[in-house]
Amino acid sequence: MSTYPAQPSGSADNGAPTTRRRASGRHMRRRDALHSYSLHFGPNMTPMVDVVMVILIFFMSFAAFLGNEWFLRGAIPFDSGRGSNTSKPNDPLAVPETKLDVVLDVDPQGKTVVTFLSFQRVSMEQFEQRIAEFPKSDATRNIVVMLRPTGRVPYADTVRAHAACDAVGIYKVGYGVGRSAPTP
Amino acid sequence: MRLRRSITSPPTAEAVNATPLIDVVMCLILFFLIVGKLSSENGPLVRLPQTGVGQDEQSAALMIVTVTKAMEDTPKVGWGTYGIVVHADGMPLDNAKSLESAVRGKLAANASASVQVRADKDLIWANVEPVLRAAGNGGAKSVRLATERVP
Repeated sequence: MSTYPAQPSGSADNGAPTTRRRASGRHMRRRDALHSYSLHFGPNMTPMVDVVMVILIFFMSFAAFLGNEWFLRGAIPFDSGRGSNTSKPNDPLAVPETKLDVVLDVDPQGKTVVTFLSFQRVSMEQFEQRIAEFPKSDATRNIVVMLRPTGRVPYADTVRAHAACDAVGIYKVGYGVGRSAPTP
Repeated sequence: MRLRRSITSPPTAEAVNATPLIDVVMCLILFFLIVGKLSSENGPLVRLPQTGVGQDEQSAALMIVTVTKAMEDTPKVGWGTYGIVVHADGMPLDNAKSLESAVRGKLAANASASVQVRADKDLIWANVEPVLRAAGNGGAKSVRLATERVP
């Protein structure tokens, strides 16, 4: 049964070709939605794509919001007013700490220079390179680094020095905070 | 005509279509995630220094101390002496004494609380050091310096 209305004949002249097509078995191409629906087969992908896209956006947002920051833990030394003794009292088994003073300053060109161990006023890149050569061992992890920046040192370079220590496993990092600075 | 109705009419409700439900629920989760994150950020926005290493924050109880550069016309009193503006948990603080008491109060309420310092990367150490000193005077043994993660 055809669901199509009869084609308008238009005139008596153009009725003959239509009759010829039907007689030869060639039908007109159907373009309606019903025909398209009847041609559809297999699972409907639209809801699946819809949900997958929402899940994708969810995880992208989750990563963007929750995964863009992390933290460097630094000790505030005892000379900031909380006492004077940094060692555990009366612990005979305590391994003596290896202390490493790292002094950061700014040279006349405005670049940060570092003084540590036997190195005098080397660049930040050299400091990072030298620190990176430390073996990743328990001995390295027991090193206590005290960062002592002067007031002109950029905060970002102080954090950079801290991160260099953190990268090789030196997690005991403290900041030299003077007691003598005036309190506002 | 019967054939056409049987095809185009909606199928009988033999199973619940969960797709719109999942759609809406996921959108709601996204919405509350974003709103919750934005509302939990205390204090002004800070451009953090970038590092390639660090630890993820795991302490639930913490005090967020934000340090930003002061404007030119900021009075030279309190934190203005150092050219900075300091917020603790979103509340502006006048001077070091108020930060000390805030840290002391936080530690009194929860001894395991930690202090998270979010300082602008354009500051110099002379701007940040008084904040750390005040936190130390308030009883904090350590601070967590917030940095921006870079690969």
